Amino acid sequence: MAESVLVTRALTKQYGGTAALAQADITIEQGQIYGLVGRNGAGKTTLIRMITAQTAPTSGELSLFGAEGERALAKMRSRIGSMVETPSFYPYLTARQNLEYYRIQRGIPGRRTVDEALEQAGLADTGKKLFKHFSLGMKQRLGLALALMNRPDFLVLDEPINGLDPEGIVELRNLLLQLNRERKTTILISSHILTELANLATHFGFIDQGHMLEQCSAQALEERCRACLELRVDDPAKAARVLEQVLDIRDFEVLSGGIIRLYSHLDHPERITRALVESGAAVYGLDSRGANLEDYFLSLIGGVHHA
Amino acid sequence: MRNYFSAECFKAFRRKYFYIALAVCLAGEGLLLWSYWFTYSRGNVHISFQSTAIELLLMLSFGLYATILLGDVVFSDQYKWGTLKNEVSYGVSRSVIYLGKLLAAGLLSVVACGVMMGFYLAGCWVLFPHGAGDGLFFQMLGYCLAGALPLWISALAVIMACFFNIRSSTVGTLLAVGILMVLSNIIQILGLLVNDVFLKIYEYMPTVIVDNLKNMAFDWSYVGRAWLVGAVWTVGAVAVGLMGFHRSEIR
Repeated sequence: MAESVLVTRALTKQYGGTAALAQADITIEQGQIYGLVGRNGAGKTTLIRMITAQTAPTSGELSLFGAEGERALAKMRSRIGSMVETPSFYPYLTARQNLEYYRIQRGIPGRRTVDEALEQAGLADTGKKLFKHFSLGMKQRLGLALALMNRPDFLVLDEPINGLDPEGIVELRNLLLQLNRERKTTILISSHILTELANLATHFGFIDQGHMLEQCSAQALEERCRACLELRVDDPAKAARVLEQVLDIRDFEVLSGGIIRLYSHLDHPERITRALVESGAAVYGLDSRGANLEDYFLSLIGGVHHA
Repeated sequence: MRNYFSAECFKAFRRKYFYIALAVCLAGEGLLLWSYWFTYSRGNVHISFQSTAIELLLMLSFGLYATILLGDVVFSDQYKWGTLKNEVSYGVSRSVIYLGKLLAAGLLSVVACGVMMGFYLAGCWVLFPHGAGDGLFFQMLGYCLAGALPLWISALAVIMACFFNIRSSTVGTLLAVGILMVLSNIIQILGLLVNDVFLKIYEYMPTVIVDNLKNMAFDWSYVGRAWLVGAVWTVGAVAVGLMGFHRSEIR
C-alpha cells in the first residue's frame, strides 16, 4: 500500500466567524498528482498555507508522511518543496544569491544544487540581474527553482502557472510529470486553469466555500465525464432489450427515472430512436452528454461561476 | 541554528545598505577628525590623542540607536517581501528564525562597532600627539564598553521584537525609537510630576545608564547594574517578541 503523504482530518481554519476551510478530510498518497480545484476564496490557499505552516489550523488534524504534532511536522516539512501564492525573494539579490541564501539556511550540501535548480527552472542565464528586475514569469520560475532545490518528496504548488508564457506552461507540465515519473514526487497543485490540471492530475479534489465537495481519481472523473447519449424512455426494460437484441449495443446503463445512457453508437442517434420507436418504446427525449473538468466542476458547485 | 545564522550573515553582508550606512558614519567620523586636525594644524595645543579619542565615550548612546539601523539591515523587510513563508514552509522553527536573526544582527553590530571605533581611534592615534593620559583613556574606554555592551544588546532585542511583530518596518522603527528614546523621558516626567518611584525606575532605563557610564568611571557595581538591566530588557524583549511571532500569520 502506498504511503500517505498528506492526511487531514476535519481540518478547519476560521477567521473571525468565517470558516475559510471547514472540516476538510483529504488524503494524498505517494506518487499522486493531486489537483485542487476551486474558485477564488474557496479555501485552496488556506489549506496549502496550513500544510506549509504559514498559518495554524483552528481545529482538526494534519499529518505529513505519517507524522503528527508540531515538532514531527516541522521535521517532515523539510521533505516538502512549496510555492505558495506569489514567489517571494529578496529584491536586492540575484537569482543565484537568493537560492544560495536558502541553500545555506536549509543546510543543503553542494553548491551544484543551486545551479541544478536554476537550470531545471530555466534560469541558468540570469547572471547578475537582481530579483527586483525579474518579470512575473521569471519570478515564478525562481519560486519553482526554490521548491525543487531540496529534491522534495512532496511538491506543493499554489497557482504555479500564473505569469508563465505558453512555452513555460508546457515546460512546467513536462517537468512535473517527469518528477512524478522518475522521482515518484507527490504533487499537490492548485490552479485556475482547469485544462492544465486535467493534463496533469491523477487525482482531483473539488473545493468550494471552504468545503471539500468531492475527491476522486482522474479515472473515476473520466468515467463520470464520459461522452454519452442520454435517452428518456417510458419503458426502460423494453428499451434495453431493443438496444441489446436489435442494435447489438452492450455499452449502456439504465438509470432511475427512465433514463438510459449509451456510451457507444454516439454518431447514430437517429438509428437508435428509429429502432426504439419501431419496437413500440416511446422516446421522450434524447440528449448528447459529456463533460470536461470545467463542466464537471461547475455542475458540482451548482451553477455557472468563474473557476 | 548554525545554518540559519550563516545564511543571515551571507545575506546581510551582501546588502549595499549596510556598507552605505557604514560609509556615511565613517564619513562623519572623518569629518570630525578633519576638524580636529584643522584646529591642531592651526596651532591649537589642547588637541591630543586623548582629547579627541574621548569623543568615543560621548558616542555610546549613538551605539544604542545605531542598532535600529543594523536590526533593519538583518530583518530586511521580511513582511514587505513576504520571504518568511519560504522559511516556515521548510520547517524552520520560528524560534530559530527569531534568534538566528537576533544573533546575526548582534554580529553585524560588533563588526560595525569595531570598524567605526577602529577607524576613529586609528585616525586619532596617527594624527594627534600622545601623552601620559593615553593609558587612562584606554582603561576608561574598556570600562564604558563593558557597561554599554549589554545595553546595546538589549536595544537590539527591543528592535527585533518590534520588527518581528509589526508588519510595517516604518511603524516598527518608530515604536522601537519610542521605547528606547521617548519612554525614559516619559518615566522621568512621571517621576517629577506624579511619584518618586518613577525616578527610581528611570535610573534603570538603558538610555540613562549608557549616558551615565562615562561619569561613573571604574565603579564596577554600575557596570553590574548595566549587565543586570541589559539582561532583563533582553530576556523580556525576546520573550515578548517570540511569543508574538509564534502567533503571527505568515503571508
